[in-house]
Amino acid sequence: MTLVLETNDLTVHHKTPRGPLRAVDGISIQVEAGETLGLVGESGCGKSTLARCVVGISKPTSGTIMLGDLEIKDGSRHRFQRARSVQMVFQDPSGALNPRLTVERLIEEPLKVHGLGKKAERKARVAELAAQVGLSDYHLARHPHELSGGQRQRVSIARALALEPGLLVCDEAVSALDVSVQAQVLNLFVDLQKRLNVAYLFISHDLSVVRYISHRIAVMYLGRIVEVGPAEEVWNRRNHPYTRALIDAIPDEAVRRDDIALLDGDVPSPVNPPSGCTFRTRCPYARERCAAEVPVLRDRGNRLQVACHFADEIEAANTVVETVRSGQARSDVPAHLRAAAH
Amino acid sequence: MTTPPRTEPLLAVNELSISYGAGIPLVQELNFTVRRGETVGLVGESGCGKSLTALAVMGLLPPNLKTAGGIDLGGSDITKLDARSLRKMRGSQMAMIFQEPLTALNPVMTIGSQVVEVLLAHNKITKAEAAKRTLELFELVRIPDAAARFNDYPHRLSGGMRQRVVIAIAIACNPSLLIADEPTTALDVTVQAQILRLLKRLQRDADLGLLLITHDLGVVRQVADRIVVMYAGCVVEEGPVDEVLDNPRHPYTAGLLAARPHGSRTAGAERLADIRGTVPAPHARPGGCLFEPRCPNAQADCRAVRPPLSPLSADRALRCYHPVGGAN
Repeated sequence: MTLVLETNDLTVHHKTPRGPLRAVDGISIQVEAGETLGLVGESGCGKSTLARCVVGISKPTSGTIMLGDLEIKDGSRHRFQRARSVQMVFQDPSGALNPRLTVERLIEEPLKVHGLGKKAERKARVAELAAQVGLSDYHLARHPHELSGGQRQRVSIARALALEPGLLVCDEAVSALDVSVQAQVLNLFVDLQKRLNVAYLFISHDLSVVRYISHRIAVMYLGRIVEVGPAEEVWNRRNHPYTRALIDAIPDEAVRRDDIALLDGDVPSPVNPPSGCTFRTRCPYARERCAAEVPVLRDRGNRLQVACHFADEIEAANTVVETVRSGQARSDVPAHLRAAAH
Repeated sequence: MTTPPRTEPLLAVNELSISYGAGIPLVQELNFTVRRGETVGLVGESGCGKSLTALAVMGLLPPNLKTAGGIDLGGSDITKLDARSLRKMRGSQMAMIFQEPLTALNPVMTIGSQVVEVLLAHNKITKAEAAKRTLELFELVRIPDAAARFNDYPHRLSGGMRQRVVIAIAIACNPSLLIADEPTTALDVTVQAQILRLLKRLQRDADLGLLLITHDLGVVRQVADRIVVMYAGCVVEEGPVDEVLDNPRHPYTAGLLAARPHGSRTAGAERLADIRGTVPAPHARPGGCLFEPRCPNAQADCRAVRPPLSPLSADRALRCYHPVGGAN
């Protein structure tokens, strides 16, 4: 197993007049070569800050980042080496591409900056990269404003792949695209991974997209990882109440569910987070213990890790939900769990 | 305004066309109705004309766009009204909820005074009465601790709370038609679910007609009674939401449904069925069927003449010669 990314107890604290804002609060994640780790959570949970730290746009307050064998200590010292290990694809390709350059020069730029190849060699490499993302010679001569949103995102991807990084950080990379074009770009990500064995740290607010593309999923809440594991384990077992609430809130294609309890309120301020478990203020299962003790990630079997004191109980309740939904009311289920099923 | 009987549509859009400059068509031959108590979901990808349609209904189209056809709301044709009568209708008969609450709200006015302003503009009441009614509205849209929030500025609120304020403003003067243009697109899923549930409840309680504009088929399925699918400025399919989404007949509707990611590729989910190509620009729309260049079912007759929107059953219509599942 080769790791292309490993963070160890990474924290990012911003100074504010009201005290430190803990955007990222002790995150340890690993991404293997050729793997997709999906990162989900509501806005303000710190997923973009984490991504920006990994590519070096933001500086961590403490903790370490390993990109393969390269240990990042000081943000600026390893800029060139870092650029060849990790690249980023942003949400809005029109903001990420220089409007005055042609597509050909946009894709060539990273090669030039890193002094790779002679002019003719670079031209051949640009053509190869363009073909890889489904752009033709016609597109190479165009400027970004002449392309559609999907084509622009393909240019961003070709540019990000130019230096053959082992890891692409995709921050809401398909969120601005219409659903038919989104499918094209998601298929492209899958194809490129198969061909180039590139790993993705894939950030999205859209859980269906993350479930589809990810091998593993990490769920973030207020700067911490609350659940991480193989995609289908996270999706089906929903051991953390926050994961369950997120999945329950997806507008369902199959049923209208007026009966499901929705999360109340909003994410608390990261300047003054609740004590103990930060999710307890919105959690239907919260007890005294949650205010006193910070839950740590514990193994739940099948590589699933969950940070919740009552994960056992919630897994049992989820089983009841399935039973109740499939129409077999069970009398041997404790009353409080039955209530939780509605 | 006299309440039309239930069977009469509240809003009737008749052969509406919107064009730009020298006759570049943006929206063509649009027909649909919204009844009281009914939610109609208008769906389509960016550039299909759904937001322009909403602005046309509100009488808010920029003056450089030309319209033809009629928009009938409670007996008056909006396209024929002058600015003064339009302004009177906005708020009291029709109201709109926008995608981005932060730009819809005035950043230098407290949220309370923004609702009071609307109430005073449309009703002959005192400031104190308006303030009292504002608090009632805040409670109606479930803004917790409404009295304390009254003097807050929009930047102090979360996205979900801001959207609740926008909804409070929209329903302040008891409109009969509510237009919501991507009301939850800028919100997190958990907040989206809260706002959709709120909209649905308000609609039921006041028997509102709701025109919901969205790109998200999941949202339409959850909230709407009827669905109108638009592509490149035209309606391609419409009908009851469950019938259309369970059994789509237009290849575009079917393509949109299939393009949504479902399942996990680690658990054997297949490659996503994308729709090849992109939506044609308004000046480069094909003469025949608009979807023909991207359609898996396209044949020679599709290129020749644009198919008409023809009824499929009493409440379903389709614009296609070669629909999914064969011709009728």
